[in-house]
Amino acid sequence: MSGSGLFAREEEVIRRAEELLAAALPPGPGAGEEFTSLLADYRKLLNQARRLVRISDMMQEDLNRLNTKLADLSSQDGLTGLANRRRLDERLADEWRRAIRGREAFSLVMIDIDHFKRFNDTYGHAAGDECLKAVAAALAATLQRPCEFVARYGGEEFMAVLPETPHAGLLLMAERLRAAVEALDIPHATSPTAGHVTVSLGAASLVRVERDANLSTLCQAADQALYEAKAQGRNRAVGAVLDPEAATGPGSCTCG
Amino acid sequence: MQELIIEATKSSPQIHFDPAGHVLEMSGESYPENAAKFYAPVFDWLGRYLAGLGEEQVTVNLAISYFNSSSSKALMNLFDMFDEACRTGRRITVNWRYDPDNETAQECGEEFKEDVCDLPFNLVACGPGQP
Repeated sequence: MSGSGLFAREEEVIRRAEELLAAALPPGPGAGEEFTSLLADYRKLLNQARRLVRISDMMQEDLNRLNTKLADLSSQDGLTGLANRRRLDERLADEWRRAIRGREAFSLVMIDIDHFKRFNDTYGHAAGDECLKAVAAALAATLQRPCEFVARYGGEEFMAVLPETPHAGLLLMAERLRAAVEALDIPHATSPTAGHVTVSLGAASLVRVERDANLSTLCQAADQALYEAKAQGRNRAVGAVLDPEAATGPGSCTCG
Repeated sequence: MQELIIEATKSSPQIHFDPAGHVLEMSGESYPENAAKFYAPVFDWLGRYLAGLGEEQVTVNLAISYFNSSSSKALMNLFDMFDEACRTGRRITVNWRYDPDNETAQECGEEFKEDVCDLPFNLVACGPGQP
């Protein structure tokens, strides 16, 4: 953009100053007045420039705040406030890379609300939403370390990511997650499993994340463990442990 | 003299300058790609209007909720123009209207107000959607 329109006054100050300089020296009797006038203009414009910068900063600050808010919104599940699937994929990939660097243990838990369709059919979708929110809050409250998190995987499925957690700790944590949901004691009259809302959990851990370890293998193991927890009667956690050799091979860092 | 009407776009404000009623209104957001180009006809119109203006009371209503840096410079120039006109005897009042929830719009109004000397400049809190 050409500044000549907006900055006409600034350019005029320069033009006049240049004219004064080019005029015959030593300065004539009117020169003092000219310089005073120039100085007044310059002061005025300098003040204005300061205000413009302050205004610009305020506007930018507003945009920054909005940007942060939008980033939060785009990474959160609207209903439960947990990380959404997009955020899960990002954070999971980050934690996985960190685990590779540290050659640490890594664990995942897939969590599924038992007979959730029946819950919705019995109590309605509004109650279903409340149930999802309560379960999400109970799961999130159970995790304690900052690197651990739980995300809404989709529908009534959640995933807990537990970096640096070896298998023994994982089973303990999976049981805590299960117990936390059971302790909510949300009535579920049509559940064949219990009179209240329960979850099944499939936990999988990798003893040590090697450079060529494959995250999707770990995800599949957690999925398979969840399937077994369901097959064994639900409201329980089933764990699988992978040794590093079992979890190597090509593959991308996404779960499915 | 003809009134000046510019319809709002996503990035430029609506302008309605009525020389008969002496009410100049501008509202919306201002971040045109080329602010100098957008405001050139506005300043051109104002220059001619002020040149023919007598003792009539002029009311300038502005409700600009967001503007980019170039537009804020254009607004500064606009207020300078009115300020200068007031110094030479014209009667102009600016009403800077802002949504009370928009703290930035209020603070920007304060900056503009402090920059002028002779131009009466009112900060007017009003709800969104009000003229």
